[in-house]
Amino acid sequence: MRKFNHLQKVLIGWIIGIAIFGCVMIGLRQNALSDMGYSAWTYIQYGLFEYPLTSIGNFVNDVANLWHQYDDNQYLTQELAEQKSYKTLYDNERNENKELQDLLNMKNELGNSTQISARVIKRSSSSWDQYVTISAGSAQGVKENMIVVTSEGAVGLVQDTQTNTSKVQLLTDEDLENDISVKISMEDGSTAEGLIDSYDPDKKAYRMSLFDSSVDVSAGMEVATSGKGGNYPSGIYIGTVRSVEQNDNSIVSTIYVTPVSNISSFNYVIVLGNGKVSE
Amino acid sequence: MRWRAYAVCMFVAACLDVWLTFVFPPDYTYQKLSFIPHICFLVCMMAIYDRKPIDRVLIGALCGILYDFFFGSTFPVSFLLFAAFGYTTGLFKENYDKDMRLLFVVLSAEVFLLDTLPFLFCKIIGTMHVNVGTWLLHMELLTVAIHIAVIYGLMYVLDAVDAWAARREEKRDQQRRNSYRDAE
Repeated sequence: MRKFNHLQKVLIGWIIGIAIFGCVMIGLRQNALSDMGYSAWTYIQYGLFEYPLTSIGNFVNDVANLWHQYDDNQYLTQELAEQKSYKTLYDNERNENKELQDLLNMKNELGNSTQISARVIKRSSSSWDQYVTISAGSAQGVKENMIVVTSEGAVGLVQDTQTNTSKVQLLTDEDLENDISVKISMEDGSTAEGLIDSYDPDKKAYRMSLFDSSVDVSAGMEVATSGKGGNYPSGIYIGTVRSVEQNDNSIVSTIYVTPVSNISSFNYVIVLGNGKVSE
Repeated sequence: MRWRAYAVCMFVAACLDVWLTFVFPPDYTYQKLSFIPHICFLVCMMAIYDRKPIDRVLIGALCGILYDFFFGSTFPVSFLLFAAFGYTTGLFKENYDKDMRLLFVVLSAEVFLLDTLPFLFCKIIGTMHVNVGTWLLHMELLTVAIHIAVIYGLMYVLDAVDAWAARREEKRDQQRRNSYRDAE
């Protein structure tokens, strides 16, 4: 019989030993009493080989997921930025819509007076409180000295007209070209008439003087156009009386009238011409 | 000893086989192309191809039985196949010195047969019902293609390991001779 060398004997021994050990392990699996030994062997096999390899695999998966999450994060960040800009656009549209709705409501109440809708197309920061340019001109029927109103009330007078645009002098201009005839409705049903002739930038109020200084005017009374003089109807809201100051001679008093609340920021206006609106 | 280096390489290759199977599991629905790693088998064959026939069979059998018990649950498939292919790998060892491409071809064919023979056996006994063409296309095509590249890589790696182990052995022998000389 062929003789085996030392290496071959060792190899045969190892193979037989492992085969017997393996068969014993498989056989032990059937024996309930030896489950603990088999479980220990299975645990060792799991701990030495499967668990480390599974951990490495999970680590690789996690790193791959991190890349996906990075991409998702970039996408969501961009979406969020776009959402913010959408929100800004939405807020802008909503505010414009509200302004237009209020103007429409006011327009429905004005009756038969000349009404020309327009949009502010220019308002320079250097003359913010003095002038605006609107998108209606002589072609649409705008004439000089017509009154310009927002949803809150009167804000200016048409000073100059072009074919499709007009220049409006705001009532907050310190040098008003034309005085505005106004009236204050009293509690007893009578009216006190006067003129708004200028604007006080320190008090942020119109200066109004009454034709009849004996009339008792108090804060909170509403001031509207009287319809006398100028090319605009009566009853257009100008502002609210803030205070009454007696002059030194106590004969003439100056009434300060708070302008409408949105005189510093409006986008849509109605140009009103002569016609009976309200008393 | 160089065999220690080879043993470590085989252990690492077996771990790599298990890890690759975990990360890229074969698709047994045969919808996608699958890759079945046999890196440990290739390392074993490359380590033993130049040895005597009985050595090749015994080393292949030992490697196979260890692979079956520790890295798979397919005893005695790997035990028998590793032993058989261990014998066949060294049949042309005189020709490998003239042209190493022959070893490359033999190993590629053995990788193919390592999967195909068990499949055909199962097909004959009736436990496998998938079409041969489908199985070859979805399981073997990618496996053989990737192992062709792996064989190239392993040839280089094992040469480097061999050279490193040989240098280490020489250094150890030199140290031993020096210590004997000093003792005298």
